[in-house]
Amino acid sequence: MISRRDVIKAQAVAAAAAAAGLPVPVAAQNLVTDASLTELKWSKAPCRFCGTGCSIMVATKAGRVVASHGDAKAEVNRGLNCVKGYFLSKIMYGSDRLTQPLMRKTNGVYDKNGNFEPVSWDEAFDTMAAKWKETLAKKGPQGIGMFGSGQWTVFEGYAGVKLMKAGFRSNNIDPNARHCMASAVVGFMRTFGIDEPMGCYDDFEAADAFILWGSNMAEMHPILWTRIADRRFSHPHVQVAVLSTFKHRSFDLADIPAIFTPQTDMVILNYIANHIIQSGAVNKEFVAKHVNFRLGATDIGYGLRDENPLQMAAANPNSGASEPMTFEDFAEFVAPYTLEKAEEMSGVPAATLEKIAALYADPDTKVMSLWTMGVNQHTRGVWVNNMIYNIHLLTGKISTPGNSPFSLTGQPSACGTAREVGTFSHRLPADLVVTNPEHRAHAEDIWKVPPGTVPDWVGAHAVEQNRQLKDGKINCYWVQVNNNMQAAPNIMEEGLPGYRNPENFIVVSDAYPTVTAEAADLILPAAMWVEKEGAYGNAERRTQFWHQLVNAPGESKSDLWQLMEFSKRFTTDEVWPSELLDSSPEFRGKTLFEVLFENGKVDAFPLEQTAEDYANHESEDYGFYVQKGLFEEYAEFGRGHGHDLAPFDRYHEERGLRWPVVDGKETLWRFKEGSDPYVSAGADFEFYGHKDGKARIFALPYEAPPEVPDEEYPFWLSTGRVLEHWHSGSMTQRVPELHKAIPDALVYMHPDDATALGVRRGSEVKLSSRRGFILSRIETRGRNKPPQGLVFVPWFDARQLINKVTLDATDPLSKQTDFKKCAVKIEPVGA
Amino acid sequence: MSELAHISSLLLRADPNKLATVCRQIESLPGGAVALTDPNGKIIVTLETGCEKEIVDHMNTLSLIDGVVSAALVYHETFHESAAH
Repeated sequence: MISRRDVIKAQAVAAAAAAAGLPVPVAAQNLVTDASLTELKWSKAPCRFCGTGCSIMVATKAGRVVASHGDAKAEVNRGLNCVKGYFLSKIMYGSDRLTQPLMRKTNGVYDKNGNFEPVSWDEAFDTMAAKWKETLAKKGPQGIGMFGSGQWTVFEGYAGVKLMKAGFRSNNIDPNARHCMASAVVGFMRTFGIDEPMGCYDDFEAADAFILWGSNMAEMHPILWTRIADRRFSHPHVQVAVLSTFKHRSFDLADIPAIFTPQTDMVILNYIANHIIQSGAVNKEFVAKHVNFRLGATDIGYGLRDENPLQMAAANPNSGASEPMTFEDFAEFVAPYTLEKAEEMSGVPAATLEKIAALYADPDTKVMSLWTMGVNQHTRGVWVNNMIYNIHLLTGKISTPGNSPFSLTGQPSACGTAREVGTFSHRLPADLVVTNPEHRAHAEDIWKVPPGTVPDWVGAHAVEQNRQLKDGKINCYWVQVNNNMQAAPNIMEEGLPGYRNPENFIVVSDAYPTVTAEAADLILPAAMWVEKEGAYGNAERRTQFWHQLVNAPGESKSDLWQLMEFSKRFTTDEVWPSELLDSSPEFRGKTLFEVLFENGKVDAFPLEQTAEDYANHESEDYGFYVQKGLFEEYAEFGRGHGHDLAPFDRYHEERGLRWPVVDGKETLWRFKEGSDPYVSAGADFEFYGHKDGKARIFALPYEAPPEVPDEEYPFWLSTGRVLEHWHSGSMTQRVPELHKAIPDALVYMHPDDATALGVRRGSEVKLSSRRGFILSRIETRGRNKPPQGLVFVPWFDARQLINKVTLDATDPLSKQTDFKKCAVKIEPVGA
Repeated sequence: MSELAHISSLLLRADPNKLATVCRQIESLPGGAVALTDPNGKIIVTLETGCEKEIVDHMNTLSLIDGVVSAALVYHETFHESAAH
């Protein structure tokens, strides 16, 4: 007799076989079928975590999310889930979930030094609005700021940027994507003149070689890693090269492993360019037709405060300037980067370097380069992005299946929201910028606000915002969907003094009492993930939607609702200058809500158009389909301009679509005739982001990092993530299974270094830099195996804030922090 | 008294040259069994565990086996032991 256990096992195997593409004995959907879990309603939603954009089937019952599994219909993950995705159903149900606004008070009134007490939404917003009005009157729009996120939904990011730039007329809005993708963005803009990868995940099944630059995909992008593993094992000619400053799990699949000295990725990349030229592997026809060469400004500093001696010593601080040069000039520029020099500086054996260079140089090997934070969190991150494109452009290995320089993404909507919506301090939607008068006029036209509304000054970026808070230049500050007190560098010297500056009023919207929320003056409880209707955009330009599946607990409200509701408390007369109102008197006396959200466009779609089977708390409050109106207005920016999005309703039907979506069809490879409708007939390739249709190769040298190990601080410190936890852990630390699996951050160290220090696995140590210290424990046998002289510490653990230790040096062009390199010392505790 | 049992399946990718030794190690895991393999290194593993925490622990153990390069969860179901008869 067949037992229940056997039936379940058979079903489990069938589901896995279906996901693996192996013969399935019986057709099976991977549904949870336990009797106690019947009567489930299953809906699709993109995962809440990384930038991969896996689609998840989410089960609800009696108003709660009770189960989730990988979506078998999704092209991205094909029914698979990583361990975080598997436990998604639990992230909303942490025992310390925030359910009402909390304000610091003493004797019933707001007091920055008081304790948090529950307040009503009205009291919260009234207090907040009074602070905002006081600051706007005293300092103007430069006195307020907002810090958003690549975890904002597209609708939230769009409402945020509109409220700040067209409502309050302040460009002091930046996303936490500044910490994660800014170098990639500037790299794209410099080389191609348009943001985001030209290729897509379909490249995984077409490439002959995968080269990881500093990325640990096995832990950070595990589902994409399974696609690479599949390709590698089913096609024996395929090779995988993994370059990193320490050994990690991705090395298990590496045919060509390479551990390099921090910062010498730049040397290796220039060596490869040199090798391609010297070995005659340049694709001359492609280069002649589609590429220009530029000599970049050098000695550009480290994005530190202007008065920092390192910054003052730079010849061209923060300069992204470049001048034209010839191919011959470029060849001469990279000629000193010989194999011998690359080996000597990087510490990678010459034979290994030659193997990697040969993969790029061989015209018959289709190469996919992959990178994330190792390249982007780098004081020369923009340059390294440019240098990776250099070698793909020299060989013409780009924009065709399998030939793909692919910038991976860390957050679920760093692309969709932070980048495409343009929530950066210098940007507007669809790659427009605030410094261009035509772009501003275009935005004002779409937004139906008077000419001159959008300010022309570049606002403060993430690291600069913390500095301006500390210096008292920004006094009112609103943080949504991120945990910047844990995430930002050098928090003891910059972040915390800024938040606790008595002149400042800090508001944090979050679902949990994070380190950042605890450092604030007012905490607003946020609805998260499927507690609201949303849209995310993943790393391959795929826009994905989901419905509100459950209600948020208590008085929690989405960030979108919070932004819109707050806008009701201001009239144009209070926040706009008289010149603006004199020239457009019809705006007088209107609230910002009326100007921005009841403008005939955002409120154009009636409530009846929302889905019958799903709630929508914002639309029910405002009486119109908020998300649809915001999306259709936003889509005007990109349609016809290379960023085309499909009509709103289609996204609720699809497992996402990759933009540009033209004539109902998504685009897999941009810039290539036949696959990208924007390429002119007969052009073959066209890099239309630049007016001349050509991509740019940049001649850029190796430049040293700002801080290197010395006698006093002898170790390199690199920070990052682990598989089980996502970013600062505010969600994953609340899933008991994940928390128990990896409860504490550890100092991953080479066993010989541990022996030399007189410590061993499990010993408590003090890890300190010139800026701060943490207490932690040594791990010498874990999944990360650093070489001697380097330690790795993950940053998810709020009890061990490694960013007390890190340096706030940034790439001078992208303003993205280098979290991968600073000098530390390590001492035994109690020795 | 009925006890809740957890049955899950995972898809592993392993080096095809190390398939045999990897499979032996999977079988030695309490509650672990190899259900299917293919010559390209795909292995379907079933786990029988007493709780979800054990699934996470097993995933970590499986990932660290020499030759295994990825492990992804596909299916999970709980049932009461007493209901098995």
